[in-house]
Amino acid sequence: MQASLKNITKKYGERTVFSGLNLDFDDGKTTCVLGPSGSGKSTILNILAGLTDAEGEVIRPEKVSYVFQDSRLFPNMTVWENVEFVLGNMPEKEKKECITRLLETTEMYDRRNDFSCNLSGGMARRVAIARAYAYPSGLILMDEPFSALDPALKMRQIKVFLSLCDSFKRTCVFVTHDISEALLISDKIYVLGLNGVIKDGFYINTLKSERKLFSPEEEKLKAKLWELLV
Amino acid sequence: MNLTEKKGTFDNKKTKISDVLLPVLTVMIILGIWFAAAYAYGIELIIPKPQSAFKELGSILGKGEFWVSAGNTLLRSVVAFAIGFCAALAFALLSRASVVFRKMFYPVVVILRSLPTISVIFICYIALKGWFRAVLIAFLVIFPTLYASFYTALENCSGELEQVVKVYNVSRFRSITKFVIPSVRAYIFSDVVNTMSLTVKLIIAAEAVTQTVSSIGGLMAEAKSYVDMAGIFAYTIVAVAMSYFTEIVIRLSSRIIKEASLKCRLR
Repeated sequence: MQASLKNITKKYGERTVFSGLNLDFDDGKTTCVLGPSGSGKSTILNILAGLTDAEGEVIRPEKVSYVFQDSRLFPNMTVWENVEFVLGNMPEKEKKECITRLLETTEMYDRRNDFSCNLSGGMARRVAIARAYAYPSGLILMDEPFSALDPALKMRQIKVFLSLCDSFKRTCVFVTHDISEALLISDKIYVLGLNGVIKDGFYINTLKSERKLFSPEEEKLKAKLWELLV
Repeated sequence: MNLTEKKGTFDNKKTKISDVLLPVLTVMIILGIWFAAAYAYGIELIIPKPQSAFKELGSILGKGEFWVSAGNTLLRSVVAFAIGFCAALAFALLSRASVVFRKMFYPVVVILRSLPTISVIFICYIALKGWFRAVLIAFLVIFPTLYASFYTALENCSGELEQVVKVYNVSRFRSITKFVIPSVRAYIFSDVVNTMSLTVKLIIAAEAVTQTVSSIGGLMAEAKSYVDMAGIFAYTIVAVAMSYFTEIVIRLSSRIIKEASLKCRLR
């Protein structure tokens, strides 16, 4: 087990976001935290990234990658430089190969010399995902990486992400409020209630590549998740 | 060429013409006002006619002493600006990195910012001697302005992007050279250009008050003592031209550096 949260309590002033929260994130798998807006999904990621303090035990690898909701690319850097920036002292040849491979997988190689401030929202997300995969971390955190995209673009982005998952086998935690997105991407789903209580550790057994939208199994899972969420 | 392209070319030409014509028109209006004021006053000793000032300028430009003085003034301006720029950047980075330093340094900035320029000139005039005196005066005046610009720019480029730097364990050196300084550079460019012009003005004022030999300010003070108003106006034109020249040099060199660095960065 690479990462987990044990008995976590988080308060913002008087308001308690979580009390005694326990989550486990399986090695090499994608875990989703599904919950409505304001349920503390981003706070979970911030705790895992070490950006927010909380009471309890946080087990995480030394290096963590984070795809923020708003991409957070450096506007004065090109696409290539944004990915290169987080690579530190890696040998030049290795660095070049790593960036090329990731930009090709995320279909951003042709835009490698464009400044990030000139990219569309969807492209910026792909670069942020490439940056997260480039960084040699033990855990990748993603905050609603496919939100605010039109349905066609969202499906395209998800496809890119799934091909990254297949190629790199990294441990990912992503948060979303979108049930279909969670079902398409995750190996395991935690459903977070508004009061910060985890309602289920919900395992999905089928292979991601075999999952299809609107299949009877998918609809059954969706119905169960709706039940848990509402 | 289609209609839209033709319209674009036409608009481009129109912009280029207005870029040249409008400033020329403004200069002509200023000359017209000067001419009218000189004629209305009617005393060359108080307001000389533009033609007298330009005649004087022609004779000044022919003298070797003038070029030595202009070189000295320009060098002092560049040195004062370079020291002010480096010091302001260093102190702004320190202030951004340490709250304790920022709080301790705050009174120094407030005092420097509120000091009347003439007090600085008089104190330095009495206390110091030599080539460097005008440089110190200009430095003390421009430092708080540059420091404030740098500090504000540093504050603006932090926040959310700093979290990215923290999460990805980017070293402080790498973060400063690759992210902070380039961001600051874009943000403060116009402030830097304006401060360079201000530095030239301050150096000339300091040279004039401290009667520095072999300097534009010194020559201006000499013209004043002989009530040579045409000379004063001619040196004023020189000062304006020097400010403009330094501004153009900064803009051009910045553009060349930017284009060269872009070429190097392409993959």
